[in-house]
Amino acid sequence: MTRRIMLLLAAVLLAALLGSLWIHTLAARDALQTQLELRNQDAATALALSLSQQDGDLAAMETVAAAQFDLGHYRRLVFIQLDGKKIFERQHALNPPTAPQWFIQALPVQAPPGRATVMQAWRELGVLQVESQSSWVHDTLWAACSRTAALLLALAVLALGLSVALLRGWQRPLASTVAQAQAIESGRFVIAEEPAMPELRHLTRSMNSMVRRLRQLFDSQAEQVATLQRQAQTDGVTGLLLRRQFVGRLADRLANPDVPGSGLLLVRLLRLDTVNERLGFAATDRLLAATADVLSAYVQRVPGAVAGRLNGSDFGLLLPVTGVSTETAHSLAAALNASPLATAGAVSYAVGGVEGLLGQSASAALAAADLALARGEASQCAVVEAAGVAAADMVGARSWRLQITAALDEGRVRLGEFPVIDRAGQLIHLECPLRVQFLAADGTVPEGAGGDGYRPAREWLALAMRSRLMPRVDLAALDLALKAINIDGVPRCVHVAQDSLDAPGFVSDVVSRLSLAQSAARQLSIEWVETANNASPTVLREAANAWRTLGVKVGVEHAGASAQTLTQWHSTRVDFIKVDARHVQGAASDNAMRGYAASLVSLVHGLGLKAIAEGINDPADLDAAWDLGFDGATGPAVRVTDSER
Amino acid sequence: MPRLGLWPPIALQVTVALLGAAALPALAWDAAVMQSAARKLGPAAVAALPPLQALLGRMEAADDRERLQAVNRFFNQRIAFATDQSVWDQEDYWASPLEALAKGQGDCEDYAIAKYASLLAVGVAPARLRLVYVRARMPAGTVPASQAHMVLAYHANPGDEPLILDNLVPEVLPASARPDLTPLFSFSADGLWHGTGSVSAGDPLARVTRWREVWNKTRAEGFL
Repeated sequence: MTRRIMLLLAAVLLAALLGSLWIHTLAARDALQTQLELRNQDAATALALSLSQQDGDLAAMETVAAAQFDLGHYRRLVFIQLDGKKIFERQHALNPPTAPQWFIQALPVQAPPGRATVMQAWRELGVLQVESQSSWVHDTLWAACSRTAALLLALAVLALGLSVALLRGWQRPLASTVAQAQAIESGRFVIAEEPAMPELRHLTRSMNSMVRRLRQLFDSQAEQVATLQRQAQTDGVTGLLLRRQFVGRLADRLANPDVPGSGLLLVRLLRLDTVNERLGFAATDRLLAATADVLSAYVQRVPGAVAGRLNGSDFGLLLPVTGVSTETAHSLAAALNASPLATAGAVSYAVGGVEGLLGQSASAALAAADLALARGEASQCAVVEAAGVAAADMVGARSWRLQITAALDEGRVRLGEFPVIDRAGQLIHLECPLRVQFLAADGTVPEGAGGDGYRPAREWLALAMRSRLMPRVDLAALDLALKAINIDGVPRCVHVAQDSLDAPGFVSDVVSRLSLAQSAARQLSIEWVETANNASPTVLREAANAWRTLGVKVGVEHAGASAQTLTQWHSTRVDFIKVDARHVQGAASDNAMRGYAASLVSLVHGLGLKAIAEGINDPADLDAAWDLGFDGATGPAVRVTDSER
Repeated sequence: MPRLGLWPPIALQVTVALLGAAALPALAWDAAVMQSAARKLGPAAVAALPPLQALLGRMEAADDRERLQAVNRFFNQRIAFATDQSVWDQEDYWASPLEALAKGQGDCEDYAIAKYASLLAVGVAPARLRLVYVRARMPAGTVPASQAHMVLAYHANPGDEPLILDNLVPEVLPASARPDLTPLFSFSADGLWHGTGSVSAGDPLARVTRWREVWNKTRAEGFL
């Protein structure tokens, strides 16, 4: 735009210059022409007056005329008698003009010759005609014209320079306003500095206030979502997690091989029906809340501990470490039974639990704990039992590291493929977690139920992390995905761990690999876990910028734990958010769940991102996900309708 | 009162034949313009107008000799000689015909201009009339013995001896009968501006000579 203004300005200045030069030159020409005409007439009158005094003596008249002609600046002088006879004539060639020929032709100077009557006494003798030299007119005009042109040109250049300086001054605030508008368009809310130019200042002020309002809107929405989340996940009376959430956390913990072992305690308020009848509804609620408070005290004191209300009378406490369960169970029982109602014999509790949980399913753990609780109930004391060792042949960490390194070195890795589909059932991309082949102790490929020994990340991820192998693992997955895209052109998605992102040089390693496979890169998505944001927002922003420039889509997985975290992703500029399974599973049947999931989706959409539901294992939940407005879904229940896959 | 140009075609043909130069613009005078110009100059000018218009109306049909006699007599009687200093309080002032009639006073060039304009207005060919600067020898005993003077000369044919219209001697006489006058230089309206006949009133040149100035003033008074 600026260049167009400059061109316009230059054109206007040039037109003004040429126009004023033309008008000036024409006026000067007319003035000079008039002067020449006057001069002709004055010279003719003066000479005719002299000649009239010669009393008709032609020789004397010619002499006087010749003297005047020779000494003056004349071009032609002629005396014509009344009968038309030319008595004498003098001519002098035009002095050659210094002005160029085209200039003379463009500006002709025409001054009529001066005429005056010559008399002898009362008789008219004839008419005298005088023409002056006129070449000086063009020379004068040319000189004046050149001077004026030079002056006007200098002025025009000066004016242009001034305008350029002014325009430059205006350009900066304009650019910042445009940048702000573009930022709003792409979902980022930037407060711009108010420029000095009044019109732009008003504009910027309005845009700033709009940005503030939008931000407020998002913040209040996030707050609302947080409230909804609490309502969806926690019990209204006790404030503890609901059964579904508690079991989810338990399953996560048990599946995480990085955790050495966990303890699970169950607390049961015995004979709740009778208590309810005797105390009444409100007092029972207060009793339940007091019970929950005792459990919450542990949650607050022990990092990683989780408490939940499993049903009306049962509470669960998940302990992150092993070896403290028995002690905890006893102190729990003591604390609960020390309450006034308990000492009065109005209520009583049973406590039971299991210790050393690792690798079991949540339901197995719960069943074991339930058994212990039953025993505790029977024996009127807290019972904690040791759980059987879970994972079949857990080898030492050192051996794991060697196994993973060897598999990476020898290329004994491959990608799993889990489709992510859109509303129409079309494939968005394939989620491709890495599988690493583990060999048996004798170095052979194991046989049997485990197949060819390729194991999912769940089994070795924690060890790979501890061994600082994640960058290598993630790059291996990236290489495989790019190779696969090059072959079949199907979009794929790989995961990068937070450890990898933090590793020096990892982001640029990925960039150099993407640069080598640019067409494949446009079909690739890269995602990281939501909690990564807590660690290294700067690294994440840089990574997202660098990769998105190459056409890669960037996303966040297992998201939705907190609405506040979710709103932070708009500044990192990701493309999609995968909402964790625990916020989606059961959406078909649970209203509170659905409310929270819906608010998550609207928040994600408000940020201008795509929302994808994870872990859909129930077709009803898939339908619910589409109803809630999710843009994509993945999980065991997801099938691609496209016949190509 | 109709202009001459609106008179029957026969009269116009006669006039054109008299002039002998069809290229010249039709000359006439405009009574209405004269009237309004006279009103601007004051009651004296308005009072002087009827006799002038009667004279001009009469002379349109007359021949040149009759015109010369009548116009010469009219202005010699109506205008008394006085210096510009006493009339206009200026060293030298060229008055238009109506200005001179309004004052009833004027000097030599005021007579000459008034007669010149009136004769052109009634149809005398411009080429026959010339304003002439002369040296006038004054009667014996007068001081100074001679003085600068202006008269109007009428040439029946180019190169002929002219008839002189003057205020010093009231009769129209041939130049040879005026030994007291020595001609120095002559000019006419068309002579000065030969070849620039279409000079407009807005032309800067039109206002630079005293002659041109009075001539424009005269035309604005209805002497076309």
